[in-house]
Amino acid sequence: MRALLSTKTALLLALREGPGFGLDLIRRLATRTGNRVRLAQARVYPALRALQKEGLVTAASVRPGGRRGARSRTYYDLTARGVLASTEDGEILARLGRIRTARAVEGAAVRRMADRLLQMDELSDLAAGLRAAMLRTRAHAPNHGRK
Amino acid sequence: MAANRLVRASARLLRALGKGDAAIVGGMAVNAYGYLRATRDVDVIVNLPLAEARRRLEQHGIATTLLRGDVRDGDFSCLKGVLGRPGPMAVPFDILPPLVPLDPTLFVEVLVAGQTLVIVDLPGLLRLKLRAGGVKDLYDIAVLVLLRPELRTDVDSLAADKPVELGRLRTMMADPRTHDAVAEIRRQESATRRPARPRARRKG
Repeated sequence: MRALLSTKTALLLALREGPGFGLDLIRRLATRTGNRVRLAQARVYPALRALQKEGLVTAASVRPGGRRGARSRTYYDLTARGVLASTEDGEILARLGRIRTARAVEGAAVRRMADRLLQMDELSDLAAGLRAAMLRTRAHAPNHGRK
Repeated sequence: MAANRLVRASARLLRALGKGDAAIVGGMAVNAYGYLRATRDVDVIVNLPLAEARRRLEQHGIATTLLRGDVRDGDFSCLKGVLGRPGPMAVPFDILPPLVPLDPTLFVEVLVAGQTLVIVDLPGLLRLKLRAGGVKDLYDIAVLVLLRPELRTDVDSLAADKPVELGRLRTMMADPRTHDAVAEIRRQESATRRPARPRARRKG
């Protein structure tokens, strides 16, 4: 089990927003916590390497904007196991810190989503029917299966 | 043919998996966010271990097969199954593990033909599609971004570590054929929103 509010936990939670490189993650954590959490680079990189070893994050070396001569950056992202671990950590912290409220969803946008899903169902039925008809025609074709 | 085949099948899966623990992703979610296209199956992501998801589905009489992915290849395990009678109208489904961080408080609940469906939030969907990284997945993202330009910055940051996918995505977004498809979707959407009314003729 990782220590609560350890560097590793903080990095895993920062990566939930999306992939990022070391400095980016330090900034992300500082911004999200109103500068209350400021990690030292000397602690961040070993922690990221340790998380990679544990199979919780992946690392990819990328040259920013594909520019020639630019120094490549190592981007980190959560693995499937990392997602689970960060969810668990996040839930523990959320339970300790606040009561979550469900997001009220209403309005025209949701009704449009419902309409689109109905249209999709009709369209998909039509496509499935066509596919089935095509397969039947092919199966009954006189040269079916011959080259 | 049973009406609302995919909607009913997904509602059944969500009920079995439990509220707050599962959301629709894949083609159905792409449709919900505006890109109308046909889809063959239902994809559901769960916020719980696959073994637990399998147990819950079995309790509701839904059989699944566990497909083991090779983790070394960045692949993942998932549950596969089929709802309905065998044949062209059966509904294949995939239950996916939490491959990207999910926040159930952001899931969108939609009432469709008397069935409650839970759809993954849009950033979550984009992240999943980027992780999958197939041509169809990237095309889905391209269409959604062209439909909602405010998503472009989200996608740029989510794909920061995937330069190949980002390059392909940009090519797709610049392709006039994608723009034509988006224009057609917009045209259809406005036509369904504002049904044309015949004008009353004045008697003169």
